[in-house]
Amino acid sequence: MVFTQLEFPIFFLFVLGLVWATKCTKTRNYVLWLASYYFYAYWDYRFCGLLFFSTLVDYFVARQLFQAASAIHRRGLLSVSLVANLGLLAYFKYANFFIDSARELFQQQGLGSQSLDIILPVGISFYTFQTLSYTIDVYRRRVDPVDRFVDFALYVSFFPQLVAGPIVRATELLPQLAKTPEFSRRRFYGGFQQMLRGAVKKVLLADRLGEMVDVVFAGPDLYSGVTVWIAVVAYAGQIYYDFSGYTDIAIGAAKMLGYRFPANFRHPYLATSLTDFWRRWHMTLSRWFRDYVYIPLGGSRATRLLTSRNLLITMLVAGLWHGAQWTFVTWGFIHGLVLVISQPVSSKPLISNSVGRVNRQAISHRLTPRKFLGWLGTMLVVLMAWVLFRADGFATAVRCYQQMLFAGDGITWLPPLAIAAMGMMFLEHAIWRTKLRRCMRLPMRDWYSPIATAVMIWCLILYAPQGFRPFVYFQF
Amino acid sequence: MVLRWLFGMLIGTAVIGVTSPLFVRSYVPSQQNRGTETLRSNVNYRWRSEGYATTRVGPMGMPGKTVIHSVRANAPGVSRDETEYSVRLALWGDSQAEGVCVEDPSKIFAQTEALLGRGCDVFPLARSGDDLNDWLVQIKFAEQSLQVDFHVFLITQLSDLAVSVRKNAPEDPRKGSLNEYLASTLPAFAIESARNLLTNQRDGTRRKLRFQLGPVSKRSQDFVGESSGGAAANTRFSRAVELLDSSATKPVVLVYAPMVPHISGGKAKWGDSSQAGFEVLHGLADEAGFYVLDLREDFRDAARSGSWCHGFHNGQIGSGHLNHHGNSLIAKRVTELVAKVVGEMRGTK
Repeated sequence: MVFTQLEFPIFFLFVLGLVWATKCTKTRNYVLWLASYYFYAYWDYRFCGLLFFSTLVDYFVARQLFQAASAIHRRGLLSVSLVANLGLLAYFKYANFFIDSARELFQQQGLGSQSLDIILPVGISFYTFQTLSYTIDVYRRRVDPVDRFVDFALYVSFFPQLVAGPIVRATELLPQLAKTPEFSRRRFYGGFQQMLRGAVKKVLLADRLGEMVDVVFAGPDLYSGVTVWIAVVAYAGQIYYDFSGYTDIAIGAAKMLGYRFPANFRHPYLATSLTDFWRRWHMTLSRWFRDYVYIPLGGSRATRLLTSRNLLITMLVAGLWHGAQWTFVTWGFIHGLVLVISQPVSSKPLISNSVGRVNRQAISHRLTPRKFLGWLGTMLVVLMAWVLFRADGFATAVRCYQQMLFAGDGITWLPPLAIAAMGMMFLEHAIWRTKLRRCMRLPMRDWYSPIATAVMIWCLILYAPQGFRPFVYFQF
Repeated sequence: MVLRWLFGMLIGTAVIGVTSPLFVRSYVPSQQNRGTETLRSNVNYRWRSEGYATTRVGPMGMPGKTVIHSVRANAPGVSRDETEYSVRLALWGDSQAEGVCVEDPSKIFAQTEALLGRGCDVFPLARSGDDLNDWLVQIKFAEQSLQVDFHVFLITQLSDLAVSVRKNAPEDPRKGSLNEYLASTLPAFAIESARNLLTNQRDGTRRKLRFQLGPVSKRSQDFVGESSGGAAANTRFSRAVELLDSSATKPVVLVYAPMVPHISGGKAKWGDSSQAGFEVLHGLADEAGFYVLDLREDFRDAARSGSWCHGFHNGQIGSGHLNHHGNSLIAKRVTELVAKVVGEMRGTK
């Protein structure tokens, strides 16, 4: 089930009613767990078994880990969890990638190779990372294993964040699931407004931008350099609004159910350096890679050379996580390389321990020439790298770059709705830098809130593009 | 608080109501004209997707044509001199010929009239979705009531020449009158909202909610390819040409203007998959004494010079409906042919 399908509000209202009707925590969690499995099975019931398998393995591994005393035993148990989860990911997501990559080698040896017919289970990248973070945290003794199986099963499969995050830590969600939340009108309303904002971002902005992006990226050499540039900026908007829209709906839904999720985006296109970008983009994934890849490799504690190595490895893995194609790996490499190069420039740690938490008093919002140049440079790197992220292969990416860099001839296409959506993106980011950003949350008591709410609901019904467009991050 | 919210939401709805004409198409009740249902006369019809235009609907539901320029010899008080250089064309086709996605002066009929000159009329009798079966029932009206001198058929796909015994199942009259009532009573944005919620936007079928578990098997759409040549095409087009020949007593012009070239899947496709079928049709039309105009090379030349004849910035350039430039090429070719034929006719007199 997808958040922007008509069936979802009906399903959600039903679950909302059931959940708030009961005071018993255990009953509540069972209801939510069943609802979550139904949500997942709506896509394909056969893969619920995979989700359950991952849940079962990590529940029992964590309990054993807590009781085990010897380091060897504990490492062995952790390995079971790692092998089970990463093994599933490796098979479903990367088997064909490795087969195709090694095909030439196989052919040279006179061996044939054939791609496997594998369906990528929706959300596998997210829920395996979520369960892995739990077992690793238990191994590190940062969290105690959960007692009730239903609580852990719900933690893994909780439908608002099951298929595309945010990746929620055990320490953040399990304590909340252990008790029945108090109903708060303010939080309920805030959740509704966040869901509405997310739907507007996805349906009215991301999908409109996607209409242009799909056409231009299918054949970039047909279009002029100007059009390709516009399409690349449009893609930057599409992927941001698609993913942050999904996240808003997820966080809003959780709020309405009484739970708090961490933020996942903080206006990344306001970043004035690539380091800053990764403190604002997909923050829960950034911190996952920081805590479970970058820091175990040594982080920034060692020499500059080793720090550079750690950065590159982390970003390569991040690229690979996004998709089983060399273009994603290259995208990760470019980000890693720029992060490495920009090491001497920034005095702050490259991947902060406080991702997402910002000392607002310390930040000056004045736009200095240096900040502007930093922003411009960051956006250029991010946009050029997005070409690789979106292109279906290196050939398409090269054709895009040729049109962009050498002012290629072709059709100059200026779709007004996509351009208007980009205008909205610039406006929204500009407002976010001002005090007006408080108004964007539409506080319940302010006079303009009901007007804006009605306008958004009508716009969703009237102006949604034709056809259904899945969330971009579902493919990861 | 509740009252404040209700009031605020009403204001928000009013904001949408006031601004929606910029983005939402019209829903105009239809009326009976010339033996068929057409748009109601003397209304403005808005089109807001894939093209952006407001069409003034003229007499007999003709989109964009509000003035008749020519006079006929049998009109009272008319001298022969006034009628000598006037010519009347009936323009048939589907939504491509109807042209509601472009402003009135850019429509095929208007551009043709402008080129033909003072005192000439082109009657836009095409409606979206029309095909041969719809044209045949109106030809007599066009010749007797409108006194047309030529029939111009804009053929954008050869399937428009398919003859069916019974085109569609007759519509439930109760549904038709309900639609008319809604179109004349409710604002367009309310109708559009209801349509978006209740129907699938792609094909207009009723939306069905699914709550059963997946996976859902995807039925592949059987693509019925456009006509190929051969005996089947011969039979199909023979019948069409025969029916046109027997229905029309005035000269017939077939304007073949398929979507060539077009952009699909990131590639520009320059060929015409209906080439073989068109050759069969061309041969049969020549035998019947029809005039045939082939616009394909004109469209290709235009695209090569950067002016694609199909598509709009708010749709996709190189795909979709004819735009101003495409219409102008058709108008130019039709005008040249009509002027030549009329000149020949006058020369033989």
